[in-house]
Amino acid sequence: MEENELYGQLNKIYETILKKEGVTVAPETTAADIDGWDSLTHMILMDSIEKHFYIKFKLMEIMKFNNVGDMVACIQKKLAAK
Amino acid sequence: MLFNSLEFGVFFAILLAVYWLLYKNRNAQNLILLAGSLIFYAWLHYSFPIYLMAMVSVSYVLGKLIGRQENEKRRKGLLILSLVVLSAGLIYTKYSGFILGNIKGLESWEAGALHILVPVGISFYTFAILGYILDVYYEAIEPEANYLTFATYICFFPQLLSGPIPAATTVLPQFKKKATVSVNSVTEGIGEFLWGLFKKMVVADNISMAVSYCFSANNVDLSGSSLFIGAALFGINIYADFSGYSSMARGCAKMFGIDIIQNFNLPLFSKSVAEYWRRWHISLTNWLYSYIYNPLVFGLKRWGKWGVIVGIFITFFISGIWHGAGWQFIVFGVVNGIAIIFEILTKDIRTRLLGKMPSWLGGLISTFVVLIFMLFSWIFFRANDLAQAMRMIGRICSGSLFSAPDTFVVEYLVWGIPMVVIEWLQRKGRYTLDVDQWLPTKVVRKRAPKNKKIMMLSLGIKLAIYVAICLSIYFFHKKVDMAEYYYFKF
Repeated sequence: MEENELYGQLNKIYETILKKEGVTVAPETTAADIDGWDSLTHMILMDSIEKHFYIKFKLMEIMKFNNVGDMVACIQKKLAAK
Repeated sequence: MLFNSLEFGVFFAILLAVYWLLYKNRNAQNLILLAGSLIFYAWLHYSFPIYLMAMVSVSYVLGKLIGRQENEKRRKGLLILSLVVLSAGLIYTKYSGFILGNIKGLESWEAGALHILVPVGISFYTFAILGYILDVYYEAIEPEANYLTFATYICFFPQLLSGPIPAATTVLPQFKKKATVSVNSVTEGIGEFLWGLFKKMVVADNISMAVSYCFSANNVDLSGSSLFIGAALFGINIYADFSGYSSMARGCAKMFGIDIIQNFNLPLFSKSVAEYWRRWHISLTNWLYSYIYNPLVFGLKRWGKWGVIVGIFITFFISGIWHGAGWQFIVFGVVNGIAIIFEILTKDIRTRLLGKMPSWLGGLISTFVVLIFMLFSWIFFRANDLAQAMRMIGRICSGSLFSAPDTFVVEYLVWGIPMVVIEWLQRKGRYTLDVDQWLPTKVVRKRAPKNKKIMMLSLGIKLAIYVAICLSIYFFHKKVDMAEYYYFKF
């Protein structure tokens, strides 16, 4: 999947879960940059991303994400391994 | 050895001088720091360092075994073994009396009857060690190969007795690289230490007399209004005591070139209970978030919002138990968990309601509600037992809340005001006594090592403030025998 397309799909997931319009995530985006993305919504977001892309994260993978770029790299790795 | 004692001053000066004399050799610095930390701990009881070093040695070996193991099942087995072995000491010393006391037929085996000597700070360094083991398991860090480095990291005296709980990912690497020191780091360190000392000796110690009076088991005649103020005083007391200790620890560590986490970030101005816990005892909140909440919610993520709710409830239940072996602490943890769950479930309606008023008013109301809630939850925290907490809350919620409060209690409120005002005014500084933020922007921007005039101006102002703080401590500290820190009991 093209990176731009992947980010577009992620934006839609974030908009649905955070109930906000116009959410745009970029590689350097962190939870601090997006209102509503906190420790309470984080795992719900991860679950939605897993369901959307038909992948499974490991807890240690999630704990190592420093920003959206890290997460996208992990998603791409899992999609490529399918 | 307490931070606010003469023997600590002598100990610290000697240790710091020897440490920096050895600046060319990191291992030698660690060796002297470890020896100093063990002497510091042995000052409380000769047996404490023995237990501590046993914990360090076992966790060092277990960390290496987990790191080496590639078979996932065996890794998990080693992790469970590590968690059981390393938390056994904490459970035995701190909780066995409480557990046995709650089993029918064994009520007589209460904590006091067992006569167990609880090593001071055991909850803090056990959590630091467990955090290290979990970080190795989650591959967030490599197991530490150098025993001396690892032992120095766990035993580092500023954070040993009362935290902050050091995260292996950020603090451990600092004991491996060359330590550096600058005029800035020393002045910052002294500033943080002095502010912490002021909070402990002037604010916390002075208020503690009124708090003891209000929370005395014999004091059954106090009005609801006096008890209400007593609970507020305890809030200020525990904040000044614990954040004061954390500031002193951070200040000491800075002078050794070690940067440890800022454990408090103006929690009294939080607009929600969740925000309060992100600002209060931050190192514990981070620990619980990383190693309890996250794994729990990850396992329950298919439950969506309900997985989060269960995760919060269990996390705060554990937070309550961590604070002490008593039902009042469990209730303290649980009511805070329930408050955060309530905030999640009512987020939309609260956002709509607050959106209809000016943001400053919404903020003010939210802060006020959080403070009132915390005031009630602090009663559980400080009460001798659950029955006393319920009695106090019953009186506060009675008609006597509107009677005139005891003047003895009211006058103690004055001790907390300067601290709260100064911290609010200095909220944007790197630390509370940081004055650079008040210098004109242009001056601050020019503040480079080469610009000696600006450096001297900044240093001069800081020196004057530090002298003023020292004089305040000298004139206003409570003249009693050394008062221990409240969080030592945890």
